[in-house]
Amino acid sequence: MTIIKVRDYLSSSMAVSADRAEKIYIDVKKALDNNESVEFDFTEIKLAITAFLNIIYGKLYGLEKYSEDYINKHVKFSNTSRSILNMIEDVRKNSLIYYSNREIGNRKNKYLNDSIDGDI
Amino acid sequence: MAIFNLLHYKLPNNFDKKVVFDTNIWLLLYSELHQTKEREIAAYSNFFDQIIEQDIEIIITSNIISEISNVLLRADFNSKSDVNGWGNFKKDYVGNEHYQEKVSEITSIIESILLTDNIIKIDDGFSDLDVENVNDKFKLVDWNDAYLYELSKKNNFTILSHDRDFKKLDFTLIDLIQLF
Repeated sequence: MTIIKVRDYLSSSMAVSADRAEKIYIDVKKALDNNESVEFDFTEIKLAITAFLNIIYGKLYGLEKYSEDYINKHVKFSNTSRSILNMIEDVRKNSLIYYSNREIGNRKNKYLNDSIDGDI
Repeated sequence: MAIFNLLHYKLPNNFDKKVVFDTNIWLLLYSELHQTKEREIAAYSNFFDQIIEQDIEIIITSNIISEISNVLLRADFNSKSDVNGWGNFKKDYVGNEHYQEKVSEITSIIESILLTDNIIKIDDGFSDLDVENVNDKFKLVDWNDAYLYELSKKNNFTILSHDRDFKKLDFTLIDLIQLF
């Protein structure tokens, strides 16, 4: 079991940076590729944004090598606040929808992209 | 005061302004975008990290939260309407189980945003703003952007936005930071 202490990768109690998330993702991927389970330890983390959680966790569901069941079984979370736990559950749900039904996922992406770009 | 490209912008150590994140920034940080806008998400999230590190205050208004909620609900409705045969947002979607699920998700996002240490909730100062000025800018950008601009000008807020329309406005008195 590889324990990823999220706080060790950050400069504050807020998990927001994509670059820092990518560093975690590399370590998580390495552990999974070595047939190890992973536990994200959120001790001292006050909040985590969706973009951060998508990188460290959500995109694992897009890896062809691992099934949904495998990720569910081998990736765990500990010491999460209620707020972070809710965010993790939403990231899991939305990632599963995106990677299992690209049509819905891409349509949602398009609407969000257009809103962000100020097109609608 | 000026428009800065985030690609080449470094926050000064003595930065003493408050920053208002436009709705599109919160959407980049908190929406469930996958495999798209990765460059933008990286740039703005890393900048958010620096803002937190330097303990710079981030301004938020109820209108920004309202816009985040509306966009996320509409995105959910639009992506599922064909499959579910929905034609009308209010009649077919509002109140159903998909809507309730999305509302619960958006509530978590709002809670998370408001948990940010340096977030400052402000009243939007409508009674103190000159609506004529807003309407004047409304000829160039949408009304909410015009309002955010006037609010920022009045309070000397720096605007962080991914909306190119802001470039149509005058940034000699306040700053605008964006990724282009």
